[in-house]
Amino acid sequence: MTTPSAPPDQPAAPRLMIVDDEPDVRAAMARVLERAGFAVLLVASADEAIAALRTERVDLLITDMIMPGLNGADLIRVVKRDFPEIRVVAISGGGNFWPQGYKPEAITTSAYLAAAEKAGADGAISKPFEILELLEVVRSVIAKRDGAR
Amino acid sequence: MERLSGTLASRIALVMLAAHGVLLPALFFGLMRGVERALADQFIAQVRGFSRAVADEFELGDALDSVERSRALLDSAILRGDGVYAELRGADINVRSELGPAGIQRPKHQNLDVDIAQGGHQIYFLMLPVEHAGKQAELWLGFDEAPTMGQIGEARSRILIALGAYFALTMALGVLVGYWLSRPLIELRQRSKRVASGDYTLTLGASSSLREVAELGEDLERMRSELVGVSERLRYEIAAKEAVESERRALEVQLRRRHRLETVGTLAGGVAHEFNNALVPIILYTESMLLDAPAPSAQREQLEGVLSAARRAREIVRKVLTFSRNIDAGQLVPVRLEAIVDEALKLFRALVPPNIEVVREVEDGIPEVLADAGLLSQLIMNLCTNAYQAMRSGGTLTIGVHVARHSGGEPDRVVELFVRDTGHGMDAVTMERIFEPFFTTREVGSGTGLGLAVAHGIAISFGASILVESSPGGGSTFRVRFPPAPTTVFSHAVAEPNPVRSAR
Repeated sequence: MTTPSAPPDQPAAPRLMIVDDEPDVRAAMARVLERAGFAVLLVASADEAIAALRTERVDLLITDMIMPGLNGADLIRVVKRDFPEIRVVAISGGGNFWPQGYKPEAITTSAYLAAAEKAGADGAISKPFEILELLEVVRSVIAKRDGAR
Repeated sequence: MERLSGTLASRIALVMLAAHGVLLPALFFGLMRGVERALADQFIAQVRGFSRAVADEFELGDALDSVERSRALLDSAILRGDGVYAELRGADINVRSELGPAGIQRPKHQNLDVDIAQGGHQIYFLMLPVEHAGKQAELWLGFDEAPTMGQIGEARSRILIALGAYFALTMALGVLVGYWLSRPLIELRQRSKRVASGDYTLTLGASSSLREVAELGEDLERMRSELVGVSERLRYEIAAKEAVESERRALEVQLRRRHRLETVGTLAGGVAHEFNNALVPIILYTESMLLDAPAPSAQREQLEGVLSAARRAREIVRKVLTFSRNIDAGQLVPVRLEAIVDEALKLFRALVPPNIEVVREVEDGIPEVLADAGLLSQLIMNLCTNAYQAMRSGGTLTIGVHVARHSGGEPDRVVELFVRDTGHGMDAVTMERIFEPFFTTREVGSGTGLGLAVAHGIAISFGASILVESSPGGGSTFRVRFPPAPTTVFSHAVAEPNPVRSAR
């Protein structure tokens, strides 16, 4: 479930947690982020993420918006309340996922991401993205945190 | 003539004619008989009185004794009265006056009483026995009937004239009465004929002092006004019903189309979500592998092929999402439509070959519409591209903006953008499906089948409606109708910027 694998020559590597119900998505993201020097934790749902956050130190949380169970916006709210020092980046593939998932405020990709921002996310990116796009968002959010400190 | 014979006046005349046919001859003969009898009686009484007087003269005097005296008496009888013949005939005396007209033959027997005109007698003969001093004789006197006959004839012609005048007068009166009676009816009939032929504004009624006719007119007028009311109401109701019905049909078509598009959109949205997720590992892994691949290598080439295919797939999904309303519309702001049309025209003119004529028809004073400039530009380009593709062998493309004054369902003032081509057009079946994604009439490979679906998605995201008019061979017109931009939306849109977009 967790894969803490920061390169040994970077002791202060930021620790990222990726929350996505799609194994392929989180594995691919883990692969490129680890390659870029981040330590990455992977979880499949919001509940798992909240449980893991109680034991693991995490600098940045990357969460999908549409997930079974607790959705991305809910998770962001919990994280911002319980772990205010953790930065959050929201990702979303958009689309009306299933009819019951349809909400007036979540019709468009930008609306999903706007919902994330409203819940307290520090950055957002829509799927699919390229490596550079992902890294740019992650780095800018981490830099924002570092600058804020 | 046939029309005339059926009229009231001619009927009255006919009845009067029939009545007079019986009445007038009877009257005539009755009157004539009375007149004849009276005149005959008068003639006979006069003749008899006169004869008696002559006979008395013979009986009282002594004329019987002498032929001369008798002749003198007979002569004076003829001279005094209307007598034309006088004769005295006895046993020993036979005298005849010669003063009357010659050649008169006396009958052997005297006439009996009054039938003076009978048998063509011109002369009325009387015989009186006379006696004097034991001598007896027959006194024959003849009187001319002609004066009396003349009186009778005169009376006949007077009676005829009187009856004729009476007949003519009553006939004329009958016809006049007939016309007088039928005039208000004819007038009523003429008016009701005009009413029947559709002039419902005309009132009916008979200008007659006859109660029956006046009442008939009133009844007809009541019926007319009621009919007019009923037919007005019916006409109004039918028109209202037709309007409601056509509006309902239009709404139904619109609803059905929208429902189908929404179904397709929901499906496309779901598929798009899955695709977006599937594309994440494809793109990330490929890029990751590209970082490891040696600079010029077959492996690298292939990976770049995968990546470009994945990027293309991402674009397609983005378009599908645009259709399924999952559009990155951002905030709608009031936009000057004509400016964007001009910009798109500039671009489009550079793209199309010279066999396509591009015409601009933009009205002045178009109000601003709520839109996103970039998407609006894409919408126009998509419509223009579609139009161009419908007339590869040349034609005219007209792009215009005007304010459509529209009734039924939509607000009165809608800004309408239209793109019209003179291309091959389409049938109703094609028109029904034209906005569905991946629906294309072009041969495989020449288009994605997304252009109009995307145009539709963009229009819907603006709150605009998009519709198409076309017929096979008759070209097509696409219309995008924007609701007028309310001024309140403007300030609202400015007050709420979207910082999330900048994070991307």
